[in-house]
Amino acid sequence: MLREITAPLATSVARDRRFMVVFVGAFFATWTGVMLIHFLGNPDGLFPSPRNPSRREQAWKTRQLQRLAREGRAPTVLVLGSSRMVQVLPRQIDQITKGRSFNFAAPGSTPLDMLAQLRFALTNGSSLTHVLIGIDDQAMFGGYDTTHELRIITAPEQFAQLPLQERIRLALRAPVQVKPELTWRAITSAAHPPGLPVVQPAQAEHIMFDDGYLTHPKLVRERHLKKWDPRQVLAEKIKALRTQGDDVLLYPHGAAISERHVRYLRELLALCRRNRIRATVVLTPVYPVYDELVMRPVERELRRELSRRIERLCRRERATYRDLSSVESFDGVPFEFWDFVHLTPHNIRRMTNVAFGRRPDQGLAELPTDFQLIRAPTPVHSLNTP
Amino acid sequence: VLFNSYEFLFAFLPAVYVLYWYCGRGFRWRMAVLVLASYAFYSWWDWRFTILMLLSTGANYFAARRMTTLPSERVRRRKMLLIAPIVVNLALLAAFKYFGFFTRVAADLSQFLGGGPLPALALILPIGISFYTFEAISYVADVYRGVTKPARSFLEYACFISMFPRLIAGPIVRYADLEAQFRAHRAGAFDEIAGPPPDHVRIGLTLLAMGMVKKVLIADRLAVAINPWWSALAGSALIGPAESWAAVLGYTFQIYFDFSGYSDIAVGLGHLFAFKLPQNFNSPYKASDPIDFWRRWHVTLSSWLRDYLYIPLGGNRTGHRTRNIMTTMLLGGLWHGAAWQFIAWGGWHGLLLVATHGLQRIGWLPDSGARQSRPRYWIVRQLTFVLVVVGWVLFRADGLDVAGRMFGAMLGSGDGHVVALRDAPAVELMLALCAILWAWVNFIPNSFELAYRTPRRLSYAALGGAALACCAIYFGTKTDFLYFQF
Repeated sequence: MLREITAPLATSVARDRRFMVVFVGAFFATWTGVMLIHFLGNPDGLFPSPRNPSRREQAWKTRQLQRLAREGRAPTVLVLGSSRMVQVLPRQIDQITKGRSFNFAAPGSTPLDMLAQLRFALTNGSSLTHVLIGIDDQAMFGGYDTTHELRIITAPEQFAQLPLQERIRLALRAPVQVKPELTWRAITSAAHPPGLPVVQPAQAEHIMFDDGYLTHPKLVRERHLKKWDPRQVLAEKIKALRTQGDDVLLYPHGAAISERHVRYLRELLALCRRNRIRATVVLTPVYPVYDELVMRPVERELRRELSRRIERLCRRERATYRDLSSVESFDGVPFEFWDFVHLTPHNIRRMTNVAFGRRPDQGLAELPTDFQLIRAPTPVHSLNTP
Repeated sequence: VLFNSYEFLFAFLPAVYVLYWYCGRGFRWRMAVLVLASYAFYSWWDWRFTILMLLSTGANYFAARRMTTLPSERVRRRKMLLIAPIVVNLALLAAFKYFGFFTRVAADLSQFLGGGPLPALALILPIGISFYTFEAISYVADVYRGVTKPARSFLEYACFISMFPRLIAGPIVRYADLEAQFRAHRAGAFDEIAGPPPDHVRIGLTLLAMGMVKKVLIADRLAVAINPWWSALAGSALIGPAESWAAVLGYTFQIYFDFSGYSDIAVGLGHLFAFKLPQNFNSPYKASDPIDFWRRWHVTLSSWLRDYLYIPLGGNRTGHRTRNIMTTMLLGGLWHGAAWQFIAWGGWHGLLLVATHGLQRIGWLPDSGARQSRPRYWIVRQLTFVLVVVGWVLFRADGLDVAGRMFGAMLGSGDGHVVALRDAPAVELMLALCAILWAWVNFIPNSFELAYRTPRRLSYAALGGAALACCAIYFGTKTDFLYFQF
C-alpha cells in the first residue's frame, strides 16, 4: 500500500526536480550569455573588454601611464581626485615642482580609487616626489551614485591594487552595469570592435592629452567666440533647481562622513609618507550661489567637520592640507565654473597655486590657455589612441 | 532588499531555500528558518523597524492567546483583549503613516484661519506596516469571533506575520488561509520527501518568472515611457490630449502589471516554501462592472475591507448601504496613502459602487456575474474599464491640482503651449502599445490560470528560466514596486 502511494509521489518529485534543474540551467545559460556579450562588446565602456577596451578616463589614463613608463617618461608628480580635479594642468605643476606631472583624476574618484591609483603608479615604475590630492566632499558623504565606484573595473591594473574585500564587493556588483537597451550594440561591437572616433580634436566634446589633462574643446571654442557664458548657463541652472526635487542636493539626506573613505584616505597618506612622497591635500569648492541655495546649516557644519578631520589626518601623516572649499580662499572669480561643481581653468589654476603655497596668480601668464591647447593638441591624445 | 535585485535572486533566495529544505528537518526548523530569513529580509531595509514588527507580533499573539484562555462568560474582558490590540495596531499605523498628513492638514488649516504657520512633521513609514497591521487585526478579530483558532506557537504566528514573500506588499493573508497549511507542515507532510512537495516548485518558478516579466519587462518599461509626461504636468507644463491619454492608459497598465507582477512573485515564492498564498488579482480589467472590479483587483484587500470594515459597519442590512460603502472606500483610499488624492480615488470608486448598486436595483444593470447579452456585456465592461482609468488619474497624480490638469488635458482643454518632451516616446507608439496591452488583459488568461494549468514540460521550464534571466539583466536599473509606498 505504501509503495502504491509513494511511487507516483516519487515520480512527481523527480519530475519537479528536473523542471527546476532545467529552469535554473536555462536561467544561468541565458544570463551568462548576455553578460558575456556585454563584457566583450562593452558598448558603454564600463567593462575591461579585451575586444573593445574602455575609453573612459580611468581606463585610458591607466594605459597612458603604462605607455609613459614604457617610454621612460614615468611621472614624478601625480594629481589625484574626482572630476573636479581633471582640469588641474600638469604643466602648471611642472612649473611649480620642477617635476614631470600626470593628471590621474577621474570622475567620482574617492580615496579608495586614489589609493589604487597611487599603488598602481608605484608598481608601474614611477618614482614619485609629490602628489596633489583633491578631496571631493560629495564623495566623502556618499553623494555619488554607487555606480561611480564601479568605474575602476574598466582599468584591471588599477582594480588589482584594491584591497581584496573591495575587489570582491565590486566584482559582485559589476553585472548591474549592463544596460539591456545596448544589447544590440554590444553584439555588433563584440563582432566588429569600433575604430577610433572620426572627429577633429578641436570639435570634440572632451579630449585628454598625454599628461592626463582633460578639456572640453567645444565649450572652450564657444567661449572663445563669446557664444558661451558661464554666468548665463549658471543662472539657467539655478532657475531649474526648483523643479528637480532632491536631485539638486549636494549631500544626500542624513549624510554622514564615510568612515570607510576616511580610512582609505589615511592609508593613502600613510603610503605617501612611507614612500617619502610629499602629499598636498585640498578640499575643493562648488559654485557659491548653488552652495548658498542647497546647503543647510547642519550640512555646512558637516563640511567644516570633514575639513577638521582631514586636517588632523594630514597633520598625523605629515601631509599639507588646505581648505579651498570657498572661492575666496584662492581669490577666484565666483562665476568661473562650467557647472555647479566644476571649476573653469581660470579658477582651477589659481586653486592649484594656492594649494602649493603660491600667490593665486603667480606664473599664470606663462601657461597656455585651453584654447591654445586645443589648437595644438599633444601628439598622443585620447582621440587617437584606443 | 527587493525581489528584482541580484542580492535577492542570487544570494538570499537560494540560501534560504537550501537552509529551509535541505539543512534540517521538521516543522520547527523550517519555521525558524523562514522567520529568521524574513526578519533578515526586513532588516535589510532598516533594522530598527524589525523591533517594531517584533513588538507588534508579540502583542497580538499574546492578546489572542489570552483571549482564548478566558471563559466565555467574561465578555468584557474578552472584548478588551480584542479592542486593545486593534487600537495599538491602528495607533501604530496612524503614527507612522498618517502623522505627517494630519500635521500638514493642521498647518494648512492654521494658515487658512489666519494663525501662524505650524511645522509640518513626518515620520519614516516602516515598509509593509499597512499590510502586516491589517493581518494582525484580522487575526485577533477572527480569534475573538471563533473563526479561527489561535496560533499554536509564537514561531507559527511570527511566520504568519513576517513571511518574507508577502511581507512588504501583500497579498494580505489571513491566519485562516494558512492554518491548514501550518497543520500539514506540523504533521510532517513534507518530511518524507527531501525537498518541496510536487507541483509547488513548478508553480512557484512559473509564477516567479511571470511576475518578474510583468514587473521588470512591462511595468518598469512603461514607467520610463510615461513618467516624463506626468513630471511635465507636475511641473505646470501643458501636454496635449493624445499625450495625456497615453500617460493615463500607460499608468493603467503599469500599475496592474507592477502590482499583479509583485503578487505573482510573492505567491510563487510562497510555493517554493510549500505555502499557497491567496490570489490577489483575477484579471481585474475583465471586470463586468465596478462591483466585479473590486472582486478582481487587490482581492485580499477588498475582501479584508468587506469583512472587517463594511460588514461590521452594517453592510447591506441596516439600510445605510450607501454610507457604509462610501466610508469603506474612503478609508480604503486613505489606506493607500496619506494624501487627498488617494481619498478622492477611494471616493470615486465608492461613487461607482453606489451607482452600480443603484442601477442594478432599478434593473438597468444585471447583477454582477449574471448572464447578459454579449454586446451589452462588452459595452458595460469597457465602460467600467474607462471609469477605472479615470480613477487612476487621481491615484497617480502628485496632488489634486495635477489631477485636475490631467483631466483638463484629457478633455483637450488648455490652449497654452504644449511642450515637446525630450525623453517621452512617440505618442502614437505609446497608444499602440496600450492597445496591445489592452488586448492582453482582455483576452489572455491571467498568470494564475496559466501557472496552475501549465503542464510539467521541460520546454516551459527552459522558457521560464530564460525569461527570468532577461528580467535579471534589467536589475541594474532598479525601481521600487509601486505598492511598497503604501
